[in-house]
Amino acid sequence: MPSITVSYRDLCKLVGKRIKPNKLCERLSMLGIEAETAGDELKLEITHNRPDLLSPEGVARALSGFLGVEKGLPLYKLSASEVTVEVDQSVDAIRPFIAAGVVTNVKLTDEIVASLMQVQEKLHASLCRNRRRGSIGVYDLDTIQPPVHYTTTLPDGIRFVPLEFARELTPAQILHEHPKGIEYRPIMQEWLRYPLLIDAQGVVLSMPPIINSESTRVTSTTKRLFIDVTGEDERVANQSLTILMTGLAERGFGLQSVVVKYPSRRVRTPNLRPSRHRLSTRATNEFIGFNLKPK
Amino acid sequence: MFLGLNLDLHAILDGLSFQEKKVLLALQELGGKAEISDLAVHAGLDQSAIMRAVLALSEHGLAGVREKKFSKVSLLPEGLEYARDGLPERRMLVALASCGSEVVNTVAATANLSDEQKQIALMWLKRKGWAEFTKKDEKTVLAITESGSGTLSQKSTDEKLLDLLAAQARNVEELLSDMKEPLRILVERKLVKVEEETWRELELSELGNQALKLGIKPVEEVSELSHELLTSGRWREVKFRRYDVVAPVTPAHPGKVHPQQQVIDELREILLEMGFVEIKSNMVESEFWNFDTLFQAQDHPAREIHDSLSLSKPERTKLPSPALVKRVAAAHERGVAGSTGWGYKFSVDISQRPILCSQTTAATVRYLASHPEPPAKVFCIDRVYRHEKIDYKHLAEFYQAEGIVMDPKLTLRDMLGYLKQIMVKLGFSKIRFRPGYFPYTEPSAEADVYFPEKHEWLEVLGAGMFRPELLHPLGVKHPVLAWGIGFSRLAMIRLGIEDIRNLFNNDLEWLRTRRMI
Repeated sequence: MPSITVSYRDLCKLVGKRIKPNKLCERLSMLGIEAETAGDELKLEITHNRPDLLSPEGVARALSGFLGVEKGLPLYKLSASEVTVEVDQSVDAIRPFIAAGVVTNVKLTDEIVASLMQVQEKLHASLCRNRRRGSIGVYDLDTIQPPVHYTTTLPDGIRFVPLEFARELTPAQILHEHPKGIEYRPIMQEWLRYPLLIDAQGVVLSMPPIINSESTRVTSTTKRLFIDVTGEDERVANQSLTILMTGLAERGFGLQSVVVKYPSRRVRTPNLRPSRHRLSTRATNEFIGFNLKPK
Repeated sequence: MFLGLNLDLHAILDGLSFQEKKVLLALQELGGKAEISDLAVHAGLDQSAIMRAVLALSEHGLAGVREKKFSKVSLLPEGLEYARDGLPERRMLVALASCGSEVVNTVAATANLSDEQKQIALMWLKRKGWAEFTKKDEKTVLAITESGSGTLSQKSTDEKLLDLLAAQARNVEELLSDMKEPLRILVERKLVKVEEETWRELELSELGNQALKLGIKPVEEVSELSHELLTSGRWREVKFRRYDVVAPVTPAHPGKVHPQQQVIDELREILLEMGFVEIKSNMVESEFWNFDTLFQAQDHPAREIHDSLSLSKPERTKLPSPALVKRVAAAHERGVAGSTGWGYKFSVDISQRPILCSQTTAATVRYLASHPEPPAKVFCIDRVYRHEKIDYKHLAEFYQAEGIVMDPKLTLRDMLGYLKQIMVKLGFSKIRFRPGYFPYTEPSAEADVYFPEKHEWLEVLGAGMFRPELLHPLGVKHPVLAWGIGFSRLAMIRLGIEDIRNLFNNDLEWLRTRRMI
């Protein structure tokens, strides 16, 4: 089971209520989250079916509902951004899907940055199956000139400075020299072209599913975020994006959608409309052995 | 009343051994009271035989033992030698007074001391202050002191004690108080030793006297019926020794059930009592039954090669009917009854891969596939295999215990009831349920039991209602509740062991000394 670390203070702040550590652990375990405290740190074990709990923001959202602090379905405001992503036909054979969104009014604290990095890492490991089904990129939108192109490049077709490096490398060099390249290149071993996100002026955002570029790096002064999830599974890409963006919304930031233009269709992501499922009262009562009545 | 007493006495006398009778008679001859060592000599028995007899007589109430512990001081060989020849320092002092020389070596030669004795003599002359040492022409010379010349005419206390002990060993308690310091010195010089001894005396009791009045004849006894006794017919004459059924014997180690097996048997008994029927799992299983039918996605991390143990031979296993495989594949790809499935391309190649069974649920699902109609109530306690590094918390081969119930009217509440019943039967009284997650059940719960001595809840059971994605492909149309016990943890709790490896411990000494549960 994936486990995450959250700050007790941060969690209480997000819930909007101070709960004693013992009580908090007991309540969390009744939510199916095993919790252990060590000072201000809480170590939480999250079950595989709840990737939405892989961040303190997600846990806080679940806790607020469970504790009755905030009842009902959480709803998020989503406005349309100007940003579009244009998908090139060449990605179809290797990593066909992308979901993207914009976060505005961002004010990044150390805690938020740590949480954002953790949720990315945990989503990569679990829902995204070690980046195979999906991989996430987060950028400073103000360093990018839309529209963003999701396309492919030859292994030595372009050069850019990957994160944590000081010099330009080709995609092939990244796979052999960058730690992340070495770690994740098995995913790409049969690909002849590599995925690439690049902006209108030719600035590279990232080479999914390996590494972002240094020039679009998020800093403490970043005001707007651009987030993308590429992958071989469109549903996983959409779910990951939703988890990331709603988590940031819990911090009070604004959410904006992006239009993704595939060669033959266009979609607007993220899709934050709740999905509807029909449940029969009779079947439910028969199943759980209660006698609940529809309101 | 008198008659009754006599009958008892006869019974006691009849039960006495040859040696015990001899001791009783010897005690009478010695006047009814004697020290054990004297008694031994008189009865002609060795130390252990006399002690056994004395113990038996006192247990029957025929005689009473009085004992006193004391410290005995006696001479060691070197002490004995000095008692005879005098202490080296005394011999040196006498020689110094008589030979006219003051040079050490000359004096020592006159006193006829060995080199070692000379060293001892010099040390004690100095310590006792009997002589003074000075250098003269590169030689050590001695001069008698005032205390030394006083000593010439009178023995010192340590010498007196030596003489006393040469005559006979003494009780420390008997010695006069001015002998305490000399005793300490002699012990330090390793000339005497002090030993703890027990003095025992046996005295006839009233009952013993009555017994002797009845008349006692010691007859030799045999403890084993020999061929010679049978053929010669002597068995008619000899007296057979009675068995002492309370005498201590060397421990016997009868075969017993291994501790882990005991817990398995106990759990099996409980489940049989609850109406469950036992099924067994296969050691080698296909990924189809081990994972696919359980709705575990084929690209799930738990299915990667480093988690379960795959087999190189056979390369593939037989799958059940293509229709069933197709229904399972459809559940994975698209879901069933309005669910969405995992949304990936199902691979029959992966389904056919053989592995060592990694969860007993494989057996449960096989059973359901062949018995899709209610009712069903089965359990499985069997071994499963994982790719684990073995340490105090992990084993690569361990037991799982689990069961299912299928019935048209079954609900989640029934499930909790079953769990509670199992745990109460296992002896846990304080229980709580928590929501849980397992890939093949929804809703799922985990059950904890409370340990007051540790102030903590320990998870022992997981359970849930099988998902439609599992049931529909198998053709099961009724609710099925499933539970699994963390068997190793349960066994460790039950056996009070901390290291999981002990569940398979085969060390005979360890097994022999373990209590049965």
